[in-house]
Amino acid sequence: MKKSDFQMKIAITLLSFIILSGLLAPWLAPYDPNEIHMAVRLQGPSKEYLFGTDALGRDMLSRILYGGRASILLALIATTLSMTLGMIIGVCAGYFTGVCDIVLTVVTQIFQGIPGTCLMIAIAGILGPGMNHLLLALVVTSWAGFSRIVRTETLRIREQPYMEGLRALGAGTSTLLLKHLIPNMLPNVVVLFTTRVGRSVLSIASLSYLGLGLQPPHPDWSVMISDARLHYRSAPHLIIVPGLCMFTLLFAINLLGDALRDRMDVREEEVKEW
Amino acid sequence: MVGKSLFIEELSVDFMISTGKVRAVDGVSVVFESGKITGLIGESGCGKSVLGMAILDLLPAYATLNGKIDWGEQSLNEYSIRKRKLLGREIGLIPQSPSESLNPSRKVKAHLNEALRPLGLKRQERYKKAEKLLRDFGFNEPKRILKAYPHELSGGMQQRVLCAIGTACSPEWIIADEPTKGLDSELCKQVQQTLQSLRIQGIKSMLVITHDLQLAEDLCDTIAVMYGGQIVEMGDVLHHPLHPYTKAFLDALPKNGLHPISQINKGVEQYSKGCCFAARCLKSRPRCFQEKPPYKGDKMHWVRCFDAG
Amino acid sequence: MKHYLLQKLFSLFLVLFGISLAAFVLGILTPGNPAELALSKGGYSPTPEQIKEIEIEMGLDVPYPVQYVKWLNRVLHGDLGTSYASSRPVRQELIERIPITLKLGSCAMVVTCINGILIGCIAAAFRGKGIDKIVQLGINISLSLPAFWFALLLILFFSESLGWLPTSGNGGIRFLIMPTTVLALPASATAARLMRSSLLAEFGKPYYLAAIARGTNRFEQIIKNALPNAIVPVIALMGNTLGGLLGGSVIVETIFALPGIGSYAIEAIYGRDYPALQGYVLVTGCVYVLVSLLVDGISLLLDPKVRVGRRRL
Repeated sequence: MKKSDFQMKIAITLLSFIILSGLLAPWLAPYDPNEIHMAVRLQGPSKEYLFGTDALGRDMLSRILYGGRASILLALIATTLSMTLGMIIGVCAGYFTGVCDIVLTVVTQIFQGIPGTCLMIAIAGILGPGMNHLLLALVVTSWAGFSRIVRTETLRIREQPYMEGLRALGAGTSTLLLKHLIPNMLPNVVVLFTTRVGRSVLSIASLSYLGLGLQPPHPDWSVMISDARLHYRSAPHLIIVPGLCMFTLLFAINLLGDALRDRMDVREEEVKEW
Repeated sequence: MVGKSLFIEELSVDFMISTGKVRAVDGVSVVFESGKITGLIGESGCGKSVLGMAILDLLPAYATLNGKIDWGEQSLNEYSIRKRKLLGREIGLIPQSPSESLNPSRKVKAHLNEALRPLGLKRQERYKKAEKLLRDFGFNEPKRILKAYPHELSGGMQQRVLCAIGTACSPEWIIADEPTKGLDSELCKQVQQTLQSLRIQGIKSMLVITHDLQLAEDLCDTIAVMYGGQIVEMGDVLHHPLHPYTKAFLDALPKNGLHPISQINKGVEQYSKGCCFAARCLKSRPRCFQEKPPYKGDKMHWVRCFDAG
Repeated sequence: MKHYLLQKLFSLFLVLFGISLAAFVLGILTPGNPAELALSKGGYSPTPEQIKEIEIEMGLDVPYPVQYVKWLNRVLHGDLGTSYASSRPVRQELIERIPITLKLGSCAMVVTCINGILIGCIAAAFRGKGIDKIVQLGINISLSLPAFWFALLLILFFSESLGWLPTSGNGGIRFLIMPTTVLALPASATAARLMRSSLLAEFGKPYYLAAIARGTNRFEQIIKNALPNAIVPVIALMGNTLGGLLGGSVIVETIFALPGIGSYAIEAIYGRDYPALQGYVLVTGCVYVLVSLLVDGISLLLDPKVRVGRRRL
């Protein structure tokens, strides 16, 4: 109990710090993140440039502040989309058994059988850079994971005696689904959402690093690391600072996911151990 | 040789759960005498299994234990049965739910091998001993049983294998936890015979935790009745019940007319500082809610009630 | 049992079909005309007539379903097309590159299994103690490290500062140490986490209590009694892990300049070489499916109920 509270506090503090600095970036940033000063390129941290400058003399601090915005937003959108899709398909497959279930399960199985990251890279690579393409690649390769879990959960809840009772009372399908089934799934879905947002952030970062996601000169942490590939040996701050930011973001999300799981999953809490 | 009795004094067990504390065993003081088969009966959730597990120090990690447990002259508070490594050697357990109490991925041989290890025998002798044990518990072809996996055995066979494991090192005491839980009447009879045969195999003292009154009556020398975490009566309770709960409990039996025990009176705290049964007792008086009833009667048959005796 | 196998076989067939479809659709989705792409190498701009000619030669003038069947037929006969970039058969190029990815993948897999099981067991054995907390923190850190950043940091530290390990390239075991570490770190963390929680779940089961009650020691309780049951989901996870490793190898091979199929995919993407990319999707998909099948088989055989069935006693 106490442990997860503590974790939750740390996670929320870190996350709100990152999100706030992203939101307030236009006011906080001392320079324009894309302003080029070739005279001061590759400078180490100094009073004027707190985190130094990059190969084109752009201020690292300003770029760092802007650097999380796009990927966090994209990750949230992508996860929401794939979760909505996965939930609709999962609930349908689990609740309306029969042909519907078989067809949807087969489709899910096909999508799950293909190694996700490989397909994601291939889709993003073939379609070329662009937000829509990036979102498509993420959603196509991740909805099946949601749908499978949601289907199992739906099947479990469907068989609960109280659902049987509600059916006997004459509750309609939409009432059963919207008022009883989905609310019961919510704790699991929230935990799942959190961990998947983390995974999406990581995927977007990897794609951007490979040049298949967000494109330079967009100020983004992974693009910054990718840009610094030629210079990081002489100027390590170019990769250390944005990498640390990305790590902190992912760490906070993972911590939050753990804490939420601890809090919501009563079974884990009451696990017996002799 | 006089064996070691189990002396329990003011034993309480609390479980820490997310909503707070739950008291499963509430200030139990009792002596389980060696050389006797003692039955511990009570309804589901009255704390009888927890009491048994507390003696063996096999409570889950979120339980806290208060009070004194002595085994013969040794105090078990500092060094419990488990910490002294006496489990299986001096005091054995026959666990509940036989189908779940055998490791599904290991053969019977592996189970018995582990149980026999304290005897320090050589591999070959251990195998012989395991065969003999199984034969003692009515298996005609022990070799095949040793090579079997638990899922290949029937419920009764699993129960007998567990008895063989529990008695492998001829412990002085056996605690049998709900040996007939969930079994049909035919299997219950088998289990009873198996437990009775334990005596022949040199096990003198037993604590049988059960809610099967038939088993308790046929098997036990003395019976303790537990309600709400306390032992309310001990002795020949089936024939001469003294406590109102025991009486009500027996009246609720089908052969006595299936009279339900009265419900909890509204507005009365269930865990009062007085008698644990006061809230449901038809004869309860204000005093019953205020003080804990004293122990009345003698060593052979005692009861905790203001009204009795 | 028979029913189960049939079902498994059916879904295997479906997934293979899905993979081929995905690879084919990827080819269709390519922006630009494939015929034009195939011709316009080295700055040469083909005339419309030439493009038309090639389109017919490549079979691009018929409807997509027909194209798919033709394409599938060629693929099943082992013809994965010709790379635009090198004008060599894709099959040949993949065969040359697969061993490197396989070597890297199996190293990472072995490291993952050992680490995952060992660390998971230690954390579960000392549940709630200091070691467990450190392990949990380590797991969270490992899962939060972006692979490309971690790889660059390793290069910065072990190659640039200390000069212990070669930066990149293909060679002996020394060249594999850093790539394996980067690949195996998140996989090990996931495996260790599952191992831990799976063991903790076993610790609460009646048979575990019974094992304690017959006087076993800690080692017998955890390794001999709980582990054989707890390891089943971890083995099932290994199939997924392989998918992750295949994906991760793209980044790792690119950074450490290993000429495996991961870096091949990236080269294909940069060069708009879509037959090569199709080949990559097909190969990784098939490897993944086969390994998942193997993993399913192993976990099935681990269950004595399946392995020995109910013999007559």
